[in-house]
Amino acid sequence: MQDVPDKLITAYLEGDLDEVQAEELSQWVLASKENARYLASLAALEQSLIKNSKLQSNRDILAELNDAEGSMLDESTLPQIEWTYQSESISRNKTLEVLGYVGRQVLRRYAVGAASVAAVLVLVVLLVFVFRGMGEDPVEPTVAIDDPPVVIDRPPVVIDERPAEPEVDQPIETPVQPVRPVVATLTADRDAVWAGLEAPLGSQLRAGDRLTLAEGFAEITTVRGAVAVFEAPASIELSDSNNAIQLHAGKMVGLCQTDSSKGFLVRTPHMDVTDLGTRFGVEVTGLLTTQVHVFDGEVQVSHAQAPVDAEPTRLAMGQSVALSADTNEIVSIVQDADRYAKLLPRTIALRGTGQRLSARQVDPNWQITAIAGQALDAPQAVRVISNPMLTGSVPNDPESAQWIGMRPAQNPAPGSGITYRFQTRVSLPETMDPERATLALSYSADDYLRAIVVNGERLEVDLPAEKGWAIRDLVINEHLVAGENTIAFEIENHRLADQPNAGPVAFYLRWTWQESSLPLASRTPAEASSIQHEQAVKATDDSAGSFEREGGSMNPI
Amino acid sequence: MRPFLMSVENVNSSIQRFTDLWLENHDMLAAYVYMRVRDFHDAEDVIQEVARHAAGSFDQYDTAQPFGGWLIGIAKRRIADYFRKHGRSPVSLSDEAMDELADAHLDLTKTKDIRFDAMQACLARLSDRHRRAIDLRYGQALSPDVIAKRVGATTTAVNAMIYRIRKALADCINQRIRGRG
Repeated sequence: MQDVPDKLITAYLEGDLDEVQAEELSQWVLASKENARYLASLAALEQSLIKNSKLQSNRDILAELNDAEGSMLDESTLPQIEWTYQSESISRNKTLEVLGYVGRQVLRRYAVGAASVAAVLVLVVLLVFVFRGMGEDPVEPTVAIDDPPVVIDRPPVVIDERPAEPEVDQPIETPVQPVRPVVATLTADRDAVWAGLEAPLGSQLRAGDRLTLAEGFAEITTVRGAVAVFEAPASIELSDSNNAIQLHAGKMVGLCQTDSSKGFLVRTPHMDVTDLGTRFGVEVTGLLTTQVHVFDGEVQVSHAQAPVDAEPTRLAMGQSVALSADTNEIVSIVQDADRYAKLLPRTIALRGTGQRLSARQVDPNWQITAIAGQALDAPQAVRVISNPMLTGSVPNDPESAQWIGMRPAQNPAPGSGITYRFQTRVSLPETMDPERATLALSYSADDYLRAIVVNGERLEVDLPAEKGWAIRDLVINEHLVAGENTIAFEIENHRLADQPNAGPVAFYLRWTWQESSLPLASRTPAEASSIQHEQAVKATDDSAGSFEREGGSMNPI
Repeated sequence: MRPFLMSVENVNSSIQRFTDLWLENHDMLAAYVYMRVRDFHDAEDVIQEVARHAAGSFDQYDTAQPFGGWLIGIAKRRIADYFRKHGRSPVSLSDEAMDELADAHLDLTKTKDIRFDAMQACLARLSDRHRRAIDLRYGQALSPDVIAKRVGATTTAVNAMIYRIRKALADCINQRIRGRG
């Protein structure tokens, strides 16, 4: 072998080669087979290093896949399937089952040794995605080379509208890797065992993090406040959005109970599920299909391969759909809430404001206990208000909730406001665990909700600054105690600059007690927690500088 | 019920055969694709594409030819697609040199298992610091720029170090294999 042009090869492998160097290195490669072999072996080594580092975590994932798949189709069903093979009229569905079986056999056969686990994973996904097309067209042999690609791993939807990064003049081989943004937090878990990446409670999860839950339960909360609760085995990936996740495998429940979390997107290999403010369940069943169940509110679903402008399907409470492996279409199925019982919070509805009262009746559950920051010696009563200004935006419904309030006690200066404290007492049901209880609220206020006080503690929540009598959602999960809780809402009554008087002060509230399926003690993320690879990086940081000092005399082996 | 193109038994044996061949050649293919597409994640996408196309046109594969060579042929088109889609093509070696390297990759496939074992043995002989460097670059797929920032070194120094480790590993592997042979 000729002298090795180390500088050229380094530049080549790191993508820094210029035209002249490329020509020079090409000549060197062509000069002898040994040279070519040497460069190829360096490149192959690189691939082996990647494979080696992934081997262990992939083995874990495989073990989990095996478990998950095994529960879907165990060995005992094998003779029957093989028999079905031989019958001439085999359904496509059955073929998929068979392929799933082959996939698992491949897994079992090759997962044991040090064989390329990455190769197996590519293959199993492939078997299903490519061969599933077989029953469709008897003339065209499978997939032709120039078909538009079936997109299996779609790029994540970026909800953040950041300016696009300039693409010009960025050599492809040295992509500048930005620090991946934190998009969610691991907010609760129970008996959780992670395969691969460890995610301790309170971990901040970054775009691109891929988590595999081998045992137990875990809950993540997106930056925008959507909550996703998973049951093992499940595999998820955080995308580059602060309100979306990818569910690769397994079962989850999504909860969007705050305004900011609406639009939470769950992408599965088969469907996009967008939450419009609700509780819903999603399950990727094996490699073949996804089910979606809406337990409350509304979601919209669209086929993963649907064109961007295709109209999504809207699902209301009680509706469920699945992707049919037969027709590759989204079809209605019977709702199976029991499957999600362990993940869903238990709810008990509380009495809404003005519920079951007629117009102008006093609501005995509520009082005004302070005005303009001054506690009142004699709390004032509030009545059901049917001012068309308010009910035109949020209608009174005696069955669930109505506006309650009073005439302004003082007239604020033009362009300013005075707060009124609406107070009530609610008891946590004895059947609920105080550690896991929250209050889910849907409210509206005339004019602004300025603060929420729970048992004398002011909550630190972001309340909308803008006026608008729409229903808003939020969750109270702090300072709640067993037994009776005193809850107060401070509503600012505002007088417009050009108005002689302020209108009535009014509040509208529907709410429920919720008992989360997981303990909430961990809802306050521990700052120090971080997923393991971050710690590993930190450990290396300690040896900072050693790279430079090594100089050229290093002999690693 | 529409008839199947192939009988189910044939489908099954075809899948099995494809599976065996794919697993046999995956590492070589991956090495080749990584060498051309220097972003690890993108390379995985390209490999997935190659797998899809290879499986889809498996009935067109001429069994008289080496499967690896056929895969490389597909990979070349997929890589070209990839660069086209990204609207730029990096400085690459000449076509002749790339063909020579593809042949060399195919040749390496024959010893891939012992090479992998040898690599693990050689890795075990690295110092902790060097192993960490390898982990940052390949385990966590951090670019040399990012590693450089994290450890407060220059990108050039990081590149040089990684290259030296890699070269030392390659020499170690080659020695072990020659020792066996």
